[in-house]
Amino acid sequence: MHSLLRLENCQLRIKNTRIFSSINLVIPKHKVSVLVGSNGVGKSMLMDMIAGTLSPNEGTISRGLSISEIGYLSQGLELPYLLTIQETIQYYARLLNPSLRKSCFQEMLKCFHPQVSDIAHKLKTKRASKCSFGEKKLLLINLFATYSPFKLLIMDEPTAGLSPSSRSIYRELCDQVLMEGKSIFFSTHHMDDIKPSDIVINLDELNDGKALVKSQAVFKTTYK
Amino acid sequence: MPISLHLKYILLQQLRQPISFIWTIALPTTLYFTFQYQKNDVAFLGSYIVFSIYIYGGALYIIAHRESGFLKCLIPSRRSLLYFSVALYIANTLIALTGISVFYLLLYCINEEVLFTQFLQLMFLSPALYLISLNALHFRKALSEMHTVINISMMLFIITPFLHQPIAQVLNYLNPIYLHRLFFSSSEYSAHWVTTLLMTSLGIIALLRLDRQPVEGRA
Repeated sequence: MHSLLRLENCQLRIKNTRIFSSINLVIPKHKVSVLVGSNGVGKSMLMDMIAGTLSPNEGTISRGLSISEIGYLSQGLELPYLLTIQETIQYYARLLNPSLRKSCFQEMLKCFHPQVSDIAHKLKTKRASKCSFGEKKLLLINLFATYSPFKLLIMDEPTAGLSPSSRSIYRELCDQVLMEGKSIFFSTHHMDDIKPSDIVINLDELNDGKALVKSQAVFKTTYK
Repeated sequence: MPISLHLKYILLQQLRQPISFIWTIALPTTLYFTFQYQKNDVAFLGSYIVFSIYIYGGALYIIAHRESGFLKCLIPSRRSLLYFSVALYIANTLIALTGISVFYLLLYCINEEVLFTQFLQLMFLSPALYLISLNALHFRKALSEMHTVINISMMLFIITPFLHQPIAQVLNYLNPIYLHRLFFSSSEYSAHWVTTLLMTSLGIIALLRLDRQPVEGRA
């Protein structure tokens, strides 16, 4: 199994509080890896560490790719409340992919998932502050999935706050990312998201020093 | 391309909140007439307009974007942060130019004698003033705390040049608005140059060492 990223004996302390004692894990290429764990166990901080915005106090992170090849959709990313959805999509798409040429909004929406495209079309003149949490989240996931030229896409609880139908859109978007030869690493609390993943990493167990990585390919049903 | 992209959307966002722009001009204009400032204080109030636009529209804008996760997710490298910062400088310089023009025009319309050469002098040192404003990034504090600190600092910056206590004289050397005015009202440049260069360098360091992790987050 070719690895994209490897964490060896990583320790993280924030203001004398130990978050992780000794984390060892591998993120493989062309797979969906899912991170699970109790609330407050440190999933978001582990993702920050993998994305390169936090550094471990001890241990090493070996990356088979550069930081610029990692796309990171954090849980708290907010849309600018003074811009409309159309402006936000045009702005963020070109930030995610600087080589993207300026094109009309309708052309951009053709690359979106059909249902997300409908939502974006309906909300295009509305400011982000007037849209629901789920609508904004779905738009962000679609933007990162469609326009990011990254090799590894990290998402922190992307399905939190999404309805079951939106979560199925999310899974279809993940399939699209995988078909492009990219890898996905995300955290979740939903069993529906865990079952079809290639790799499940349980942070509760990692912190206890029991297991490193559990392969659950047997559950593979939706992700291609 | 990234600079023009940021520039377009930064300006669009600034245009949609005109109250802060109006207040930035209204405050020095009101001060000028209420406290009967002298004519050579026009440049000082002009410096106040330029610096407040840079600190609120530049440094605080960066802090707000750090807290919203924008820097963490969409500005992944030092280079992209540099582009973002240059776009902020250009956008805020355009706003500062408009602000100064409106301020001078207001004074002119109320039959105040104003020196339009000051207008160009004010903008000449604007890059230094922008970089000095970035010193706010040294303080890893939440947005609300930084807002309070900057509001109090701005009030002190506008008061201390008119105080005669020794402590005020010392504080003036840390006052970017006072330093800015000195460049075109004093011939004793050496001390001002040293302080300005030092504060400008520290501003560049603050930008280069900026931690993209939100303070209001858990880490």
